[in-house]
Amino acid sequence: MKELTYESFKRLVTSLKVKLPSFDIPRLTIGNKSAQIAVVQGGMGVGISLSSLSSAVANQGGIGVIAANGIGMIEPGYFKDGRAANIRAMRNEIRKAKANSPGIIGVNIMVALEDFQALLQTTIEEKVDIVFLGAGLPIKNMPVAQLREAGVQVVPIVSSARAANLIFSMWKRMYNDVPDAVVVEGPKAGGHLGVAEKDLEDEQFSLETVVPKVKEALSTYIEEFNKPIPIIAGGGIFTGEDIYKIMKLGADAVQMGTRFAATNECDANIQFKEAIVACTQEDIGIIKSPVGLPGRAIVNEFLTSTTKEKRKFSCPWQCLAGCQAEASNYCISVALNNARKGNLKSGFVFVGSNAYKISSITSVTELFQELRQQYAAAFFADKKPLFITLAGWINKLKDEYRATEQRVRELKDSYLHALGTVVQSNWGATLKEELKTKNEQLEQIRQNIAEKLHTLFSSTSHKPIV
Amino acid sequence: MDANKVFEKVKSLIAEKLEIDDSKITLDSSFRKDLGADSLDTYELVYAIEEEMGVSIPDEKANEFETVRDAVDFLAKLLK
Ligand SMILES: Cc1cc2nc3c(=O)[nH]c(=O)nc-3n(C[C@H](O)[C@H](O)[C@H](O)COP(=O)(O)O)c2cc1C
Repeated sequence: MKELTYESFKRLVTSLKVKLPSFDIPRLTIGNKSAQIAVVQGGMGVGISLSSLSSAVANQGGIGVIAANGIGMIEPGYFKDGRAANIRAMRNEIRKAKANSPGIIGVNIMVALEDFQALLQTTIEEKVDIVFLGAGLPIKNMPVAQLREAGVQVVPIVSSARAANLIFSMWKRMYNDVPDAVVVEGPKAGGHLGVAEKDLEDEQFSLETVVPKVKEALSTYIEEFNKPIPIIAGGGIFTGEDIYKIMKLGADAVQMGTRFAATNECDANIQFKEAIVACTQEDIGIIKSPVGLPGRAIVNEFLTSTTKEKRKFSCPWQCLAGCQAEASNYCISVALNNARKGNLKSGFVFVGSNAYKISSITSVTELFQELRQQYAAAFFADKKPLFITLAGWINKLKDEYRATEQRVRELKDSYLHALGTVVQSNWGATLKEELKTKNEQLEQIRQNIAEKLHTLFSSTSHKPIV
Repeated sequence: MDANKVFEKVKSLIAEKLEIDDSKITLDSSFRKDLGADSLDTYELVYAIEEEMGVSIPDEKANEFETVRDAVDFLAKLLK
């Protein structure tokens, strides 16, 4: 027997005029915002994900995210008044992204930022679809009523079930409300990490371990507040197969950063993207960021030099309360902004642990196509024994189907012929009757196949698009 | 509330939240080094103290608490 492939299976099913359920990456619905493809482009700070990247992702059916952190650095007035530049740039980028795409646009804000509240207010004023809140706990002083009024969905970023529990239990107590989804960021992610450096290799903190735990922690809130709370898993997701696998473990969507950083549409300079293409596995390492968190980056000469000698640097303003720029020998906002502009002598590139696998810069459209095809293939491969059984069964029905179809065709001809003859008799009525029966039989066979397919799909974690 | 009372209250909350014996907790204990609290523990503790004692501690302030004494001093002043 020829080997059954996704393509041949698809041909078999559609040849019987049965609609094949979708093998595609499912939808992601957060509150009243619904994206066709459950892929979130992670916010990438200091100008890496702005209106260009986020709108390109939203146009492909994913969720595009603008990073608020250091966004004012793309404006001329940042060194004079950082706060004002941040708000100005944020408003501009949100408006540009929305003008470029009717899709879902979110904003990522670090909770620890000095101007967190002001940035959050701007997202409310601009009525962005979703805010993603990380690097700190979005618990106190949350303008929940305003967010609800403006229809802004709230999605905290966590790295453990404990943090998810703390946020949800405190929200319930303080606001009698809960966030609308959760991003679980695992230890393989790029940028600042929520997992302590010593725990990065510990299986207990892996994305695969934490996702089911968060799912369990959220189940009581899903029930109590009677709404779905999707889990978006990120950190090291590279292929459509990775997406399929983490969804099987309970994730409803994924968040991806590094892969989007190496696209044409990414808002950074070409040299930033080329550094990602050029990096090897050995180049990727963990740094102690001035903000007090570990971070994963391409460890270049600039980063090494900061740990060796005292350097002169300027800090535009204290944008984050506990920042240790002095002890670290550099201002991370300035360094990341230099990298954004392609100046890697005075800056560096945050990347996820899989960045070395990227071999070329691609377009967002191509990336989505690739991910969706890989997802479908992974789904098919995972359920192959079931599909083989199903194909055998369909093949048996196929003969019956063909015979019935042939008889229908003959009957139609005879019937048309009978209509043309002068002799009107019962003959025409009998033919009509048989034609009806045969057509019903065909429909029955189709329904049987559709039902089998439906049963198969509903027994998997895959949620077909209906 | 005087500092002693505050300390007793804080001590029992720490013991409960961190699941440690309260005889191990002194004014000079460092939350992180001696009591083994990570950043999430600290937040949980602060929320429990706020609830129990009816006070409000800004997150930035809570981040600055190094030892039990830092927290007790802050609270005693607040509750004067
Ligand atoms: C260049 C870069 C910048 C990032 N900046 C931020 C940020 O400002 N805020 C944030 O919450 N996450 C940030 N991240 C994390 C991403 O949003 C995402 O969660 C992560 O990249 C997922 O891991 P992956 O890169 O392996 O796909 C950044 C990641 C990268 C690669």
